Amino acid sequence: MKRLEKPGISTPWTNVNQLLAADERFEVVEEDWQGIILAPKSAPKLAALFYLLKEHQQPFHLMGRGHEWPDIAQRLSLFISARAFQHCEMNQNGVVTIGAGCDAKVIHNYLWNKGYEISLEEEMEAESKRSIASLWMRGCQPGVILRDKPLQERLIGVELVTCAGSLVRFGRSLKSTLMGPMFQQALWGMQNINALITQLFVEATPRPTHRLHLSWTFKSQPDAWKHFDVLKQTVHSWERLDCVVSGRSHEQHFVLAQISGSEEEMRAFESICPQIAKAGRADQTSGLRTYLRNQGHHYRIFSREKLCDALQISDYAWYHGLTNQGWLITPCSDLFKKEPLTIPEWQHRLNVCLNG
Amino acid sequence: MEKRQSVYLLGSASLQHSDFLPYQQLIQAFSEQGKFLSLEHQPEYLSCYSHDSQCLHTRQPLMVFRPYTTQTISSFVKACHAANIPIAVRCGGTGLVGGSVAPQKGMILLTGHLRKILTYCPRTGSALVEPGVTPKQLSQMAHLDGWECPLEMMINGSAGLAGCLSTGARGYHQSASLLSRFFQSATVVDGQGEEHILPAALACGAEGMFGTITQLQVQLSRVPSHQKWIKISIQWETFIQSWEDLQAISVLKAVMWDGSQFYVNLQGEEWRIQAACQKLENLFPMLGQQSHLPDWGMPVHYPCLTLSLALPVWRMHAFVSALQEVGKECHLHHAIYANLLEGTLQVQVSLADPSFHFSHQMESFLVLISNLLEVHEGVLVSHHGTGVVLSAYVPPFYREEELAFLRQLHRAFDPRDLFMRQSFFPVSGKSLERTHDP
Repeated sequence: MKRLEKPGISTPWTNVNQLLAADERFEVVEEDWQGIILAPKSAPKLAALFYLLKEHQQPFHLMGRGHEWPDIAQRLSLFISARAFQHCEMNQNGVVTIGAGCDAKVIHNYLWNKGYEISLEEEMEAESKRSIASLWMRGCQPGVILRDKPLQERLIGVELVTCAGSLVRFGRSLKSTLMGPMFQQALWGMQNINALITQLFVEATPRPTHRLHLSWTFKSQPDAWKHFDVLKQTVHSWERLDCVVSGRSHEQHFVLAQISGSEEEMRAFESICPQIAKAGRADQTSGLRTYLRNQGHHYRIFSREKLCDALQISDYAWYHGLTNQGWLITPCSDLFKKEPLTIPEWQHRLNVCLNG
Repeated sequence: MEKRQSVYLLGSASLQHSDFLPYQQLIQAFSEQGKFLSLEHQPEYLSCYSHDSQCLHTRQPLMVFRPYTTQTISSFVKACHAANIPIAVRCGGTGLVGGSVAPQKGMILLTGHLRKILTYCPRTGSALVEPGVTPKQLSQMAHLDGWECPLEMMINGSAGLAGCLSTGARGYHQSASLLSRFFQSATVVDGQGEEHILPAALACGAEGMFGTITQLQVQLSRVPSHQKWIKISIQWETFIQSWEDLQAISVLKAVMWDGSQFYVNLQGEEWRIQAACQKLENLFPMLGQQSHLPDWGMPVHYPCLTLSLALPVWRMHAFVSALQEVGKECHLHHAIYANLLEGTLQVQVSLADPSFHFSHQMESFLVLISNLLEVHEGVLVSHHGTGVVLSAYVPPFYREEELAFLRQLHRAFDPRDLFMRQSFFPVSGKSLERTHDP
């Protein structure tokens, strides 16, 4: 049975029912489980909700942090979500204010219409749509870096509501504000904080007039890696430079690249790019990702040095040259065990403060 | 009858006062692990540490400790915690907001002399360094390997990296995001003497909130293959009309304005810079060329105050005009540099008429500036941190809840408030308060 949601449920707490409108209270039903999702539409309501739940001593799960749903055995009956924060607004400084519940496609389309972009295209293709807040807390690192500025550096401010019911803002929509710690960037990848992000201030980039998607195919893996290295040394302003190799001898290997600029810049680039005549001009990234997804394989992070040694016949490897991130894509899910996460002491103290 | 205690320590007579006993005990416990200045040991040098590079707030410390190694710092802070002796950390001493001015009954902990580069990898450009290492020192070490420290400041040879990270300091033409790329992590000793390894973003701009930095992991940058500074002599209104076209230039790294002229910095591959220069010539027919960083040295008339403000670019010109009016009202000279791409404005103010009392004039000026910033959607703090100088003027730019949260977080690492006493946080009743709705 799929998970079904129905708005308008009355919760066991009168003051919560009074605080939240019917379209902010949802009953959730699965085959073996029933629960409630509360999704306030404003930050003050969210803060008040946390305060009330603390008074009632009611435990809850926080949604939108990039986690999967907990197993039924560990699942509480109450979830709190910031998914109703769906706004997207750009200021004159190229900074976009994004509600925590917005997904990558909505953000991309909004910015596209304004003539701007941020590198979220991989998340747009993901099967399950994740909100921008959960992308942030998962620490997603897209393979594309625009203007030599990774996504993490583009977050210049964040507003969140702590589980203690406080509304806190780190950074501002002004790029160079620096008052107090840069929490907005420290939060990247921190899935376990006791707070919900409500909105983010992200620096967008003007869309270039010209962009080239290039791909090279090779029959031999060493040739692919060799060309990858040559490209990396020759040009330093790639937006993407990836190497995708297969463990199967009959399959091809790919080098994928993306670069942009003015018409004059692209003309100059084509005169210096090695083997440009042999390059395909279509964006192969999406097609390759779809192919690998259809294989039903599992992704495991590997360093470049170990990637080739670990590659088996039925495996694939994808290496993001700009972020130095590599994945072994393998059919075997039980090959690798998840190591327990050790939370450093400073994060534990931060969480205690967020909890009030 | 209750015995009254004097709040003053009278020179050498203070050595007999019970208030000085904890300091003497500290000296005895750590005399073999560093050098001390105190009322007993070379007291004539204490005044050298009464202020940093600003002169608005000064206070002579009761003691100065110069540890021989970073390993001593943890146990020393533990001892200060037990004795409740507040500490101001002084790295390069080049701060502009009084961050290394000792609080009342406070002492100075020196870290600027700790300048070892502990590890360095010429292949990856990563290094582990002590807090007093300077940008110039790093760049000189790594230059032959094609690496450099990306921070470009006038004080490159004296500013310690720990101080730079704590306040968010970088060159006025550089962006805040550069700091998170260069600094990877910071080892800090908190107010209880415990060590933590923090992500650099947490320590950046923290001004001692989590403790004092004892080690930094840094990532050097490749020396840019090509760089160009171009001078454009043009009116503001004409320049801003081409702002969108300028921002589309991919190699644009900085756009500076000194009140009369613009300076555009291009960095990247030669084939990109050539195309960018062509575009600039099309936009602005009158171009001058410079091959190096312009001299940002503002003419310094002491005493002076240097502020670093954040503003939206479309508000900058109007703000500067309003600033000129404020300057006239307060009888002040000012010099400005603006970074349009990043939205920062550096303002140096000094007295037009030296017969006026400097600190009194600065107080009036800062109140007026705070009002102006609110009107123009600006923020008071960018490159220099908050420190003592600006802590009283922070309320318009921070919500109460945010300050309360930061205070709580600070106390989680420093329960006795050793490191930020009388700094950063506004004191109720002694800070800006709104008198009426605008």
